Amino acid sequence: MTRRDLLQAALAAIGTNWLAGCAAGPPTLAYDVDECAFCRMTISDRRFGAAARSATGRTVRFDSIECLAGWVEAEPAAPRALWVTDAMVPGVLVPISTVRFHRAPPGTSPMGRGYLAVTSTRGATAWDGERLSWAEIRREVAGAGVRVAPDTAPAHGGH
Amino acid sequence: MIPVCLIALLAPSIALPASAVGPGPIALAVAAATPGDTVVVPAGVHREPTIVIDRSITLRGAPGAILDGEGVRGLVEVRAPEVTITGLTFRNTGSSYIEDRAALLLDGARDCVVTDNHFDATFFAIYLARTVGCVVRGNIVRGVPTSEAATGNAVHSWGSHDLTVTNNTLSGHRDGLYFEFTSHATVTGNRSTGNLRYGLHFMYADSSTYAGNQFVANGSGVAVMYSHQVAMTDNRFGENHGPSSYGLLLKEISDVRLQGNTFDHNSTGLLADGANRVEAIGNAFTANGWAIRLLASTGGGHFAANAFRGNSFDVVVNSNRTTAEFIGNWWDAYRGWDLDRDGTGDVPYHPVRLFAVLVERAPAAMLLQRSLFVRVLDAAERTVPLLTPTSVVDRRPAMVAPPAVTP
Repeated sequence: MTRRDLLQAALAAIGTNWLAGCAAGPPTLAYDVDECAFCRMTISDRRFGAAARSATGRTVRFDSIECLAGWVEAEPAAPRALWVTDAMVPGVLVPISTVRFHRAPPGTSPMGRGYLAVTSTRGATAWDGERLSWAEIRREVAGAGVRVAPDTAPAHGGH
Repeated sequence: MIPVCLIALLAPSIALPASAVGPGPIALAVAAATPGDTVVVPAGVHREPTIVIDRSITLRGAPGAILDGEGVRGLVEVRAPEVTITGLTFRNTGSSYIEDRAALLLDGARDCVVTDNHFDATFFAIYLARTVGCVVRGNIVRGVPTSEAATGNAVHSWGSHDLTVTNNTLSGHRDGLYFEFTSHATVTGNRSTGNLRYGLHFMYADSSTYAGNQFVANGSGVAVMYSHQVAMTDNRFGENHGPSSYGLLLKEISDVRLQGNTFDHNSTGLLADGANRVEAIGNAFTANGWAIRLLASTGGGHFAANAFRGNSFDVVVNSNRTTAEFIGNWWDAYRGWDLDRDGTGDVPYHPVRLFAVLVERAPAAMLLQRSLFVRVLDAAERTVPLLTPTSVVDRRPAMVAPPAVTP
């Protein structure tokens, strides 16, 4: 191998790494280690993790849909990408455009308010409560925060 | 005299099929009981569909009585007031993403008592939903701590009030104690260790007291959030290591009293983020990376008569706007003198080192911690403070150390 080949290989490797660093794929969540960027809780429940890539390319991680919405509302510039978890496929982040949202049974999500996401094409699940749009979730969180008191909570979804 | 209804099982060690249709022998005994009765579960392993208790009775396990969920179901559901569950071993509920599966679910129950039970390899062990006046005492809960399989909480309370949790041993779950929308709780004498996330976690849990508990070596320590009127006394918060691990994290909390606690061997002993009116008196901060970190949103703190021993950094704030009063604490790094012999140092102590401020802004600077350069910087800053907040100062540092607390 000539010196020139080596140089090309090295440049290619650097280029690949650089591209990988800017890849559009979902980030990973280190469960029980990463801290939610909005509420500071350790991200643990694999059904509810979420993530965002900010306008400046920073990766931001969340323990719940509520916290993702809260962060988006507070962020001055529109983020590049958002991901949530299909609650039926715990531990896997999917683009926010591929899911529908439901109100989760009280006490289920890591925050008080309670939203969950499932892949749009999935049939009805045991959890399918009231359906909401992402815009409605953002409005609710912007207006009243991430919590909801039990006496105003919707009927219990059962166990 | 309380009537006692003994259920007779021919051979409890013979496994009943998991798919058994209809209620099992224990459920039948419960169905035959009248309020005030005691149903005694005999020794042996019992496998039967989830037992629902819908009347005010006592369910007592004879020594060696085991309820086994065979990895597929919760074991007992209490849906009546004044039920006592005691002396039983609950095991093998399996885990579930779809339901919050609990070994023992108490839903809408008033004045329930759960004492002296064992929980082995359960998803949620004791799950209280909308209970009033319940007591959870002397139970031993042991999960199977794997980071792969998700696990529920050892004691989980949602929408409950007037709850007493005392002298339990809780390990191997997501959180040892988890309270959400739970007010007027009294939590004493528990030992919560080796849980994957928090030893204790609560949010929206006002007017509660935590005393004499041990929260040791949990994944991220203890985190308490979005609550008012919290008293924490004589607890130990210890051995929590990691970049987002804290002995105690106070997040959006107001009116907290911390007294007589020990914070030892944590990456950060106490982190206050959005905490208002924290009163910390007579606590020991020993051998932590950071003893206390106060973030900008924190105000109105009062720190008196605490002892700081062997911490890399005693106090760090991330803003000059932080308001906190330090008075009469003992600092092992204090180098002042007491010429008037009144027991307090004649020169003030500034607990925020310049280097701590630099590390707060650029964590990689930690590499320089033991270097001569940093010592010179710190000495220069002590002489002429430029970057460290002058408002964070102890004007009457104690000269005599309070007796060391052995954790």
